[in-house]
Amino acid sequence: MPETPIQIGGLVAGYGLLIIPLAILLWTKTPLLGKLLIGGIRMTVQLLLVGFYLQVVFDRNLPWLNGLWVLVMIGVADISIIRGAGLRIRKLALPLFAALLIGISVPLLYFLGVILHLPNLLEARFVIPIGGMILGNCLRANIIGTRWFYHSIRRGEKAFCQQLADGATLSEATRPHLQHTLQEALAPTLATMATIGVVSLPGMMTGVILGGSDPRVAVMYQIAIMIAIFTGTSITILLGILFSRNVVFDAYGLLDRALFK
Amino acid sequence: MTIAINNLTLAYDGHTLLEDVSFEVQSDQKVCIDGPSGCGKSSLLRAMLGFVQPQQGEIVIDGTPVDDKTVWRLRHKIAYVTQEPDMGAQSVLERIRQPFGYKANAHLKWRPDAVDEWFERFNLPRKLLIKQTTDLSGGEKQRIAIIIALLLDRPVLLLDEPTSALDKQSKQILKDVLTDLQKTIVFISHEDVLLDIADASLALTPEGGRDA
Repeated sequence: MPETPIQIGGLVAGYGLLIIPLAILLWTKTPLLGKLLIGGIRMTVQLLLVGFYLQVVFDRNLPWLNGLWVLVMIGVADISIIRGAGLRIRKLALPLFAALLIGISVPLLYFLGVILHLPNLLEARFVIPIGGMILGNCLRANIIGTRWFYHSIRRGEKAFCQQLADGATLSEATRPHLQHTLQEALAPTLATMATIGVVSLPGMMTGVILGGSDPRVAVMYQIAIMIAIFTGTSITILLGILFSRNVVFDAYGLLDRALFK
Repeated sequence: MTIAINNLTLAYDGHTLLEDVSFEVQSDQKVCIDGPSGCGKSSLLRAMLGFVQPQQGEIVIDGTPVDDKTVWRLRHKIAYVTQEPDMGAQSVLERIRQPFGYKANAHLKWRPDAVDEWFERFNLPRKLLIKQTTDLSGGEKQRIAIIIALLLDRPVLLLDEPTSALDKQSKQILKDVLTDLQKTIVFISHEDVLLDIADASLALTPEGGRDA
């Protein structure tokens, strides 16, 4: 629990801060008022519901329930990535879910077991926020990566077919696209790693400091979580492409056009 | 190496491109495919590589029907030059070396001297090798695509309008090169310079049938 919790009155005062962007939008006649209203309401309702649910999950602290919640988070991320990449859900949902499950589980369990030495790896107050933090960061990178990979092959379909004609296997023909995808998708995470702490104080560190811990402890948590995020992102992007490659290319090595919206 | 096209019908997006076409190409024969735009000439070459699947009929290369199982092996016997080649974004040298990194071409030895020889033959300056493929002219791309196909040294050569971006001199060079090759060559062309070297021709009608 943070040393200075926000009271209801304080939260209401927090909404008061919205008057400033509201005034800017009205003054500049920027047509974002509706979106701001809907976004604000959605944020409040979603977070309240999640807050209530998490309170129950945290109070009971049942390993299977905690694990189930992580699976639900992965499922939601799975759909968000496919939608965000402008692709159809039907073919990609399962391979991407498997990639996310492995890609998140490896750094998460390593973080909890090897770095934190937790006796119970499915402890609610660790597995859910840390899993969520890894997943949330992987989500952005996976949207970039998945979109880049399939759209770049589609854009360069002629060059891709030429590679197949030149004798490339599917794996050989997709390798340059995979390399570019990893570059594009990992670049934001690498940029964050390079500037972290200087440009902004990251979420994990902020949370640990607000929780009352020493900044040195917060820094160690932050370093560990950044490495876990980078590891998770690399694994999920790679596996996402390897797993989905088997279902979105036909037996002739051609990309299924029905994949695109 | 022989190619047999048996009662082939090709369609794309519900539109028939080629209807009930049959034809045979003998080993080491040079065959020209001619016909008006949109009659399915390019699709016919693409079908030989499995990039377009027949609605009816079949294509048999070297006695093996092209299907989802055999196509990967058959592609290793065919060198293909597409019309207006798309070479991606890399240096010319990287593009030329690219197929030599594939397992299917592991038996081929990478020979820089052979590249130099073909560059000289096609009047391409050596400094072009360090240029980006995106900066090449249409004629340069076409000549480099032809050189890659020649370096792969496969028994079948499929050329889709290989002279469309070439000047008169380059067309004559290509004609001389193809004349000397002992390979099964199928090419699409409207140019007299290449029609001269054809042993046989396949004329397609606007409706995608074979012109008698």
